[in-house]
Amino acid sequence: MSDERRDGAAWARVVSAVLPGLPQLLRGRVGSGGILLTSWLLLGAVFVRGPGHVLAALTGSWDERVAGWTVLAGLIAVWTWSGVDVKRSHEASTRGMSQWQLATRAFSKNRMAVVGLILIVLLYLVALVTPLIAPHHPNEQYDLASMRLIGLSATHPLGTDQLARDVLSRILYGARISLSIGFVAVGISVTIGTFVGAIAGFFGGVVDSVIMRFVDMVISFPRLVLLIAIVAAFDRSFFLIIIVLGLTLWPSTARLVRAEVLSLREREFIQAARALGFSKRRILVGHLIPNAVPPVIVAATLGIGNTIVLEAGLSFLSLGVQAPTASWGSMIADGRAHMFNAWWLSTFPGLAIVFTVLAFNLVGDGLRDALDPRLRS
Amino acid sequence: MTSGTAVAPNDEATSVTEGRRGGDLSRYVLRRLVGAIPLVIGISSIVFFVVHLAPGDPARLLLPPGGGDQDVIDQIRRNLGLDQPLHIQYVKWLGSFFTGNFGYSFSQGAPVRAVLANTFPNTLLLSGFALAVAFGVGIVVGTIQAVRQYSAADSILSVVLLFFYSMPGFWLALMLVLMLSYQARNIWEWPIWFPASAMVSSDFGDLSSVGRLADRLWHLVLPATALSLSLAAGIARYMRGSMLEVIRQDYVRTARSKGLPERLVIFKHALRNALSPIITMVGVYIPMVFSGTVIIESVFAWPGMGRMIFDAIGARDYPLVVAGTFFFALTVVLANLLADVLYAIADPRIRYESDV
Amino acid sequence: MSKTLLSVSDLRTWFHTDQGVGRAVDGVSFEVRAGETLGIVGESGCGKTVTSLSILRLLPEPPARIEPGSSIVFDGEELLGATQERMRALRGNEISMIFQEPMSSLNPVYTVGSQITEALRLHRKMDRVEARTEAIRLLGEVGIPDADRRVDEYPHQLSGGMRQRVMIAIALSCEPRLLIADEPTTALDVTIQAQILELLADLRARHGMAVLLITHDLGVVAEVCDRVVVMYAGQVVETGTVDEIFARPVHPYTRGLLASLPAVERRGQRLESIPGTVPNSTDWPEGCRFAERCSEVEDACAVQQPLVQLGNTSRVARCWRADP
Repeated sequence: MSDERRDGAAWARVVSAVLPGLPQLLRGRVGSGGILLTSWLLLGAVFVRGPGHVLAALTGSWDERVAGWTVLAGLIAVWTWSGVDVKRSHEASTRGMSQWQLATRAFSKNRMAVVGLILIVLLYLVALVTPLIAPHHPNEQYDLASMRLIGLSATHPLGTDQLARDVLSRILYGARISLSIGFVAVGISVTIGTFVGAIAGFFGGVVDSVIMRFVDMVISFPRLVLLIAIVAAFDRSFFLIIIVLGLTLWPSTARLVRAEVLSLREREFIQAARALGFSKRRILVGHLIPNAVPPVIVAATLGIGNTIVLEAGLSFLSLGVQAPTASWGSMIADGRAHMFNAWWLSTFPGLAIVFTVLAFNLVGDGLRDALDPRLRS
Repeated sequence: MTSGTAVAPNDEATSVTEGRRGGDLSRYVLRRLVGAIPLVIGISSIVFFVVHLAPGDPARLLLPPGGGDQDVIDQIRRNLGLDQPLHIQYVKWLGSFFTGNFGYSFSQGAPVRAVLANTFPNTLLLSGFALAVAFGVGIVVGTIQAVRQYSAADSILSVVLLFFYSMPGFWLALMLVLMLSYQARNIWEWPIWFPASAMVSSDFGDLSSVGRLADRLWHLVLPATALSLSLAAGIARYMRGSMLEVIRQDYVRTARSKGLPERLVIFKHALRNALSPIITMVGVYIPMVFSGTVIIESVFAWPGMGRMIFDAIGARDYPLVVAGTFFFALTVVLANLLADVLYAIADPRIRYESDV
Repeated sequence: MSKTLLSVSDLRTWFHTDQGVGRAVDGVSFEVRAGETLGIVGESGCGKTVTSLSILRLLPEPPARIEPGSSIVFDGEELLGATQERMRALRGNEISMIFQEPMSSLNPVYTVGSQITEALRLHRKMDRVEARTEAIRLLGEVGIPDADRRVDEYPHQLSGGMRQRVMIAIALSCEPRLLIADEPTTALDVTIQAQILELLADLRARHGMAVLLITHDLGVVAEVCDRVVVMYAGQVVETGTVDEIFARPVHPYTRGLLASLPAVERRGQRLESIPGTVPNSTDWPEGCRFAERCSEVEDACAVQQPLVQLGNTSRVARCWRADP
């Protein structure tokens, strides 16, 4: 038995050295195996296709440096992680597992959620190494007379647009806008929402009613109208859009955290902390907020998807990041004028949005199921 | 009492208070309405200040680019009342609001009231239709999924719904126009295609009343689909969860233990309970639909308020923007109230709770 | 001896989940005779509720599955092969059931009356007016005052005891021959428990139905049952009449249960308790399932002991120490 396991580990280590993630995949651990293997293949392909490019990028522009270092560091990290991982014994029993370990296990059993997670990891990697993989520069215009609105071809896999730019490259660069806006805006709103909600729920009374009246007001308002009003009113920049999205999103998080804190407040372990004479601040920061984290994580993941759609909507109304910077929403808007003779212009950026948002929603659903002890049974 | 049971019925007193009767319900509605006034004023005020603090001069926007000298601009500003300090403008605006006078829209060249009267009903038609479709489809699909939990149909529907849920409405709108309007009509030559713009056909005046209704519905199909599909998917997801929760309840088992057919167990006993949380979601969904109309009305050239607000923001037409958002906010507040009343009707326990 | 109304033999209801197979009910046999009250006693997790739900086939399948080889015969008819339609004709009509939680067993959005009339209109084909009159009569019969007003009230307007009376009225409405009562008094205050038990005993005497009473409380058994089945870890460990079980318990588990009852003659002494807890149903121990909690365990307990018939009585016990 132990011999067999040792043989198995030796075999796994050899495989892991060549294809990190494969041993985990073969053992049925789709989550870690899939992420490691696809990252390895993606970054490896970028490196093998042009090792010179990658090395040159290390000293190039800011953009290229990030890409180059991502490739190298990513490859090393994946290789090491997989090597260390296969050495460990995987025969952990359910007893003695922490809540987070249990949740991880439940999450990795959910195939769709794991697929979503792999997709997100790949999307972020692609966004980071875009300068090394995009076939063309996103704003590079080819001959307007002959290269406008060319359909799908080998040199332009997703065609060219009305200004003879490569659609695929623009989509790849546009991913950076969507992913970073989604991530940062949700980060801002979750931070504000958590604190405001926790304060309202914990202190109650007048504080609670004032805060919640305000939250009700913001929630019952069509968000896009508010966004349009603010964005149209000021000079639009990448940062303004991130901040405005972040500042209009927090009320729903606040509502969620408040509800969670209200129910936690009555639970025994909080009563116990009170009976022990802990300070209010310590109870709030040390006990209430950490326990409200799981629902917030779920809401945040689903919120990233919503924010990406919202940002695309603003860009579609030409209120997003300004031209010529490629963003998925503005690409769809630009394609609209040529929709009937160049269908690919609007179609592919839209599909990029759908699959990105889908990935976040799959992971959000998976997290919700995994973090809810009632559903784990 | 008809029998002589030996057991005396002196259980604990029926402590639950007597129900709120009809009069109480209307008092409750009135109280909610009064409570909503500061909410609506607050929202409009925020919009008022945001729009007014914005850089950009509406007077210049009225003139051709580069045209007009300073005197003309000053004259326009005076006429529009824009030369006065912001707080004076605000007080004036607030005052005129209470008299039902929403001011004059300088970009449309008409009183705001008239502009709203022309556009608001169109938006209500579109968003009301979209909401009805979204709730209808969402509730049916979610129920089917919950009843068939663990089946292949449930898993497939879940993925399909998540796909639609992740789809931006404006992109769906373009795809619908491309496929079901343009391609279907001109390339594939399908017998059925749908119009991609306007609310009625040009020959609307010549149609019979049935023909008019059909023409209106025909024009509603694409914009309403674009507006409601992701909403319907969201409602279905929510409904599935709610229904799964309910069919685990003891009273559903009780219904089965009486020998009721499964159809009655689900559609009579489970559905009505599962609907309660969905009804309260109306308050979240209506602002979402209104947000959607801003984009969808622009795509489909629908002469509604969403598109009008968008244009008005671009033209810095303050009175129109503020009055438009006021009406959006008012509708949301009223819809929330309606949802609460429906909720109280659907769930008899709610009516007896004393406060909001 | 009156004839057998319900005969359960070798019933095995297993739950097939990701965590393994939970053998919640694992080879249970007993019978209920017409007109008698049979008690099934055991701790929570011993499979008594699953047994009762299996009889009416009310368990969600999957994850539950009644394994082949099991048999439930009601009045000569095998229920495990019956169609869903046939089962529906029996439920609420020939066999009805009341549950543990009166607070959640009634549908909150319908009036008490409409929940009673449902079964009447379905099984006894009454029209609306007849059904309503009958519902009011039934409410009176189960001891609800002011029945013609209460009939239009919602469950939340009634107290827990009242709601359990309503559940009993629903269960009684079609004059069933077997009433399954799953912990009908557990969720109620002690004084109301006594009233409900008295009501059940009274109604049984008047209607001549058999009652299968599921409980964890031997005190309740002593009050209302004729015979007792003691269950432990998905199996029957001992059966007998109430007098026999209380006077001469054979299985150490039954003795443990009895010793943990307070009694006047042992005033001032500490109450006994059985150490440990019921093992997990996915993971029953080999051999005797009670062995690890048993004070009289011996080597032979590592091997499963089949039920032993005691003398020439109808009593059986699942223990090496039971004298044949």
